[in-house]
Amino acid sequence: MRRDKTERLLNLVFALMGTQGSMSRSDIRATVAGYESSESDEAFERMFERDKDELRSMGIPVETVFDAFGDALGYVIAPTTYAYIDLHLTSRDLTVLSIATQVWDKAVLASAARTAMRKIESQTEKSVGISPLIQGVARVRAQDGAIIPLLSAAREKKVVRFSYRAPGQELEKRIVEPWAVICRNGNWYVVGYDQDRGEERTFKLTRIQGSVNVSAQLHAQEPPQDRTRTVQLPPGESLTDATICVSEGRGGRLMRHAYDITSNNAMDVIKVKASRAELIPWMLSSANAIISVEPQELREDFLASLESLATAHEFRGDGSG
Amino acid sequence: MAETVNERLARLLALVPWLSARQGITLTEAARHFDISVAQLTKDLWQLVVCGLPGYGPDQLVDIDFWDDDRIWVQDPQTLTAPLRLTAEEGAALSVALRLIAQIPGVEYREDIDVLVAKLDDACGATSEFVQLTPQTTQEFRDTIDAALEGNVQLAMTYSSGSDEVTVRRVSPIRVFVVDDYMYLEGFCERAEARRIFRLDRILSIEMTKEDAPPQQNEHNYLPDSGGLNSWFVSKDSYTHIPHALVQVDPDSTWVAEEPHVEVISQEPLIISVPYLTEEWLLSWVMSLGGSMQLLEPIHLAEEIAQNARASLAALSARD
Repeated sequence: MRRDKTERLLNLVFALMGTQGSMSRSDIRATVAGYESSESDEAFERMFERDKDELRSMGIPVETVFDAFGDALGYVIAPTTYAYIDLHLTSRDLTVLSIATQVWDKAVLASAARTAMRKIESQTEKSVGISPLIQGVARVRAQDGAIIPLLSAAREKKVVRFSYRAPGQELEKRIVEPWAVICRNGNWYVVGYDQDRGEERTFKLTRIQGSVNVSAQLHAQEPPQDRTRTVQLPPGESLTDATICVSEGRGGRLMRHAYDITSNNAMDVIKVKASRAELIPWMLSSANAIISVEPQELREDFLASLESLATAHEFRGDGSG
Repeated sequence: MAETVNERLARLLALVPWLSARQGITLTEAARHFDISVAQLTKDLWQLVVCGLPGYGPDQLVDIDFWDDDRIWVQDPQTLTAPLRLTAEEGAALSVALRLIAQIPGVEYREDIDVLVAKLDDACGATSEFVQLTPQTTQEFRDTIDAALEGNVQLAMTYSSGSDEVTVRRVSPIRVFVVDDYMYLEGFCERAEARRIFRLDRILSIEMTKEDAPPQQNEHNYLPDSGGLNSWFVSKDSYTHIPHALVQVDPDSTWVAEEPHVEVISQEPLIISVPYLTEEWLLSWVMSLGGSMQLLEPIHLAEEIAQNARASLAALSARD
């Protein structure tokens, strides 16, 4: 099955690249190998529509040629749109590019990068080996390759649909106008306008389930000037300006996010601005080293978390204690 | 992983012009370049030679010889005389990767990368505006590490470990690399008297010393095994030999179950098994998640958590 489909698509590409002017649907059905077996007009139409869309989704420019009355005459892959653009690459450039192809781990991006490299190499005499000096620089999981459809959608101002599971919530269908893809602290996010919620939202790529569908529908909202502004906090969370005293040698996570640290008497005074949802885990990581917490509301939240932590781990109920 | 029709078609289309530019290349060499087996390449070639222009007579088919002493000769590529233009996807895959690499301290060719990204964006559509890579380290840190690697000088740094301890260390830097989206500095640590790996986003401060770094063997061509939960430097085979903790997770913290190497034991209630290397790390991790997770095993660590929490409560309350 698959073999036949690849072959049919290949033949379609050759035919559309080789045609003078354009090729009509009936020509395609009658002459391109793979379509002759269509049992009915409808079966052919369905098959051809799918094939055409598939080639376009791969970035192969299948153009529709119209007559003076706006009716579709036929199809063509024109040299002006498919011909390779020479990038005028130096051998240094090629070395650097060959490292780039190594970055993606097991993602759809890995095969896209590899094919890109082979295309580039077709224009040069030599194959590019990887310099041992710079091998093993990076390997990135690129969460499921959702980056690419989201990126194309942002660029082409298209609306996307995907299933998303927000923390503590059921799986939900989201309809989003993506603005940009962001990598922050090792996590990938997409920021955009959530049509159902009527607001700007941030989505973590690992929480997207299944594939991202890019629709033909265009963005209804203008993206903000600064589309890659920092990933938003969940709605309703404001920043707390906290001052936390910690015994020396502890409180690493707080320090990483601190804007000011002063040390005295085997104690560090850490000033940090963050949401409470962030501050509490940072404090809990060094719980027994925390000496004081300000403001009072944060202190109470922290005490409550300690209380629930203690309760969850006491009275194990196995009767042996 | 099964290959999609798209991936296969993209390769077949790229194959013909690539081979045409390398007449007489061996099957083995070509297969290696496309990262496929020789059997797969042979299959690809057999598929190509039955395709071509309508009519499908001898003059209309793709003609490739690949049966003499393993060498491939493209006799007639039909319309595939040159590669197809890079698609937006291919361009993005390269330019995003390049921009990631440019952020790594100590990486060579950084100046070339900007120029290349601009060329790719020009040819395939801009990506820069739509992708933001927030560096895991500041420009200042990067410059310091760059300079130390370049000049073979020891670094003095304050580091906050996975178990939230803050230490001061002297490190002779060896290299910086990225695995699973995190950047790491590998170096010889004077304090540990051994090679250590430090996550860049956990470095609190870093500066060059006046001390020369003793030469270190650089095994550049390996990257640690991927994983997560601080255990990626353990090889996969040894996972079964390292201890696992049993943890019950609240309904609103189910994301924990999606972390690498976490195994779901039961769904309701959600109980997971988590590999851990040190008890300090496990303690710190469970503590940091507050009461939303309950450590079931090992039991002595659960007790320690309860005691820790009680002691901290008492200490803080005593200051009222």
